[in-house]
Amino acid sequence: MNAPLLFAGLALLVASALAQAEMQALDDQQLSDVQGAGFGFVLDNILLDANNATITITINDITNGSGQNVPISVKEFYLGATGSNKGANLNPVTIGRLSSPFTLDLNKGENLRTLRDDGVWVQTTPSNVAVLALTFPERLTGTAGQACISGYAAAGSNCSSRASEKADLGIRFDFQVAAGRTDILNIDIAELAMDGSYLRLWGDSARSQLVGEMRLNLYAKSLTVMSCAAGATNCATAAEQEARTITATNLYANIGLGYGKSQPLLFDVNSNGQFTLELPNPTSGGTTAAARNTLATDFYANAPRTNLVIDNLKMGSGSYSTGGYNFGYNAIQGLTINYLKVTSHDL
Amino acid sequence: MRPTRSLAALGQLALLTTALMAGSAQAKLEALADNELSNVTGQAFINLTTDANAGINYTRVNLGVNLDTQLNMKKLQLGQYNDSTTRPGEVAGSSDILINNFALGTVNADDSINAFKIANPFIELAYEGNKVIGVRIGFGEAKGTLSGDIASLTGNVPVHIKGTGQAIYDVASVGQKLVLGIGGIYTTSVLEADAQLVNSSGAADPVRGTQAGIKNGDGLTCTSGCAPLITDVALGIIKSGDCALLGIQTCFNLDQFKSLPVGNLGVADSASTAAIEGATKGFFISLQTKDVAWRDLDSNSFMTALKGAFMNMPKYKDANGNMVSPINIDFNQAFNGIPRQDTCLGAATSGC
Repeated sequence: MNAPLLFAGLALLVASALAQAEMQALDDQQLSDVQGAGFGFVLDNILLDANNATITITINDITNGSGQNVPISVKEFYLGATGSNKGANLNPVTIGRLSSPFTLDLNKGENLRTLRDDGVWVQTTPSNVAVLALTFPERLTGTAGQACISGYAAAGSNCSSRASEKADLGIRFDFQVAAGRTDILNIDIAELAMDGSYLRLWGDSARSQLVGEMRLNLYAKSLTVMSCAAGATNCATAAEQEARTITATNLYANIGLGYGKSQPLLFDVNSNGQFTLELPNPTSGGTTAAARNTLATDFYANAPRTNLVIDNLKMGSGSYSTGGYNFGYNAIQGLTINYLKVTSHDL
Repeated sequence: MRPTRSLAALGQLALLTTALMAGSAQAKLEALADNELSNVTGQAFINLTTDANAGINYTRVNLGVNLDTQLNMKKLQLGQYNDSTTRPGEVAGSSDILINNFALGTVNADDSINAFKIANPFIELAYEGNKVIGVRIGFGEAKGTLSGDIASLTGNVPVHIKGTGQAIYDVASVGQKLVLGIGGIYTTSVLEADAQLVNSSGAADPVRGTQAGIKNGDGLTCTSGCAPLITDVALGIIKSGDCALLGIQTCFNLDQFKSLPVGNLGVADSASTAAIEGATKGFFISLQTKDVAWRDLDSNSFMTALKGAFMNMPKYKDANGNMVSPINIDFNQAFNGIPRQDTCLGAATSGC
């Protein structure tokens, strides 16, 4: 609760043309002693239903081959309880609970923990820094853990969200990619949970910039992408719709970007509006081979790894003889990034 | 404009924060009016192009980013399924693509990084009417070292073998050496051959391949040091069959090729430009429900990717503009493989 108040206060100070008070910066040690209690919240009985609304967006930066803007229509958006049958039967859902809420807090780096793939909690943020952390309902170890995907043990059983606390989510995009041609992507996700996801931000005095680390966990029983508008030509019957649907079943992603101790996530925007996203070499702080080995060993042991697993992926019916295709099991497992620098530029 | 306007806003927020943190800040900040703010435009780093060929429509989302990376993954696995109709004759439990200890880029002894460079990655969908029949992720340009223990591969992986006859003589029997000599092929002769994904019998087999080799019916060509006419006649007769040529092995397990060049690694980038010098164009991994022709970004023609998961490792141009295969090895490397380069920080060299 303190953070918004602080921002509001700062905004008032800036807005006042008569502000004369001299502000004193806190040094790192002082800042690390600042600890708000933070707050937790639960999305109680939430239901978003925009099935009958259409939002048309024209993003100037997304152009077609002729340089013309591509209008994008957003339709059929919903968020509700599981069992919605792709939004046809919507009911409210409560995401998170008081014992495992969403949290936003300012905390010391040494107080924050991350769950490793082997079920061990480790510190990933540096000590003696004040970290602003937004955290989704946390994962749980031991018998309190819930199945992250019902009926699919490989996704783990350390989620806090119970079956009733997962959500169905859907959205449809219509891209007018060319004259007379509209590409449709109608996305429906069933039994979605994002337990253990977080975004952590802090100031890096050596780099003189805001740095962070993030983890995005996604667990879903199914994700379907239909490429036609229900009721349109060739998209009326259940068989026609299935033939135009990509179905991923039992899928999860653990995406880790940044390891605060030695490889914080750096983000910067230059005056031209171009961005740079960087994950530096985690051994760059080591001046000897032994020091670099120590840093590398710690990094490989404790830095969150990225996994992307789809237990079954099919297009159409999944049967080749009827025009569909079964791609089966697909996975990227145990991804670590030793170095990454992404720089945007004009196309 | 929305994303980049957000970026601009982030930049302004960063500036604002910096100003607030400065103890002696005196400058007065002026808010931008809406019309002023509307003039703040970021750059177009996303665009969308369409294409059409043989009744298939394509939509490609291009991302204007340069991406330098060095990464490792325990496993890259695509298309692991058993379907006797779709994949008749394949080993149960095998995958279209399975590479263990996959890595992009390499690490030097002092733990500095040789990044794998990518420019303008894209995602493309292929539509037949309003049905998606394929999706691919590709790189407009790419250069660097790709490493891994290749267990199976479906796709296009051109291999070119070139070297002196010495390596062949080294593994040949006395009788084979006699035949080579009679054919005008000597230890100093320079021989070349194209190879590709084959099965254990030497037949071309781009599906779930575990070996690369000279396919049945293909042979060697001599580019120098051979006896005129005699060698031409001899090589015209001597063809590879059942993974052997004159009894010498011509098929090689993919898993012995541990580190492969993508693009021309011998060309250094220019500090004055953002271009990736010597990059290959058209590296992609795709999934399609049927054989789909994707546009080759280098030749601008269409190339067919087979149904299922498919990896395309394109040729690249050398300094003279000649197309060079990504796996470009001599006979010793063909017989003995290409060793793995270090892709891990610290003490480990792979599997990190």
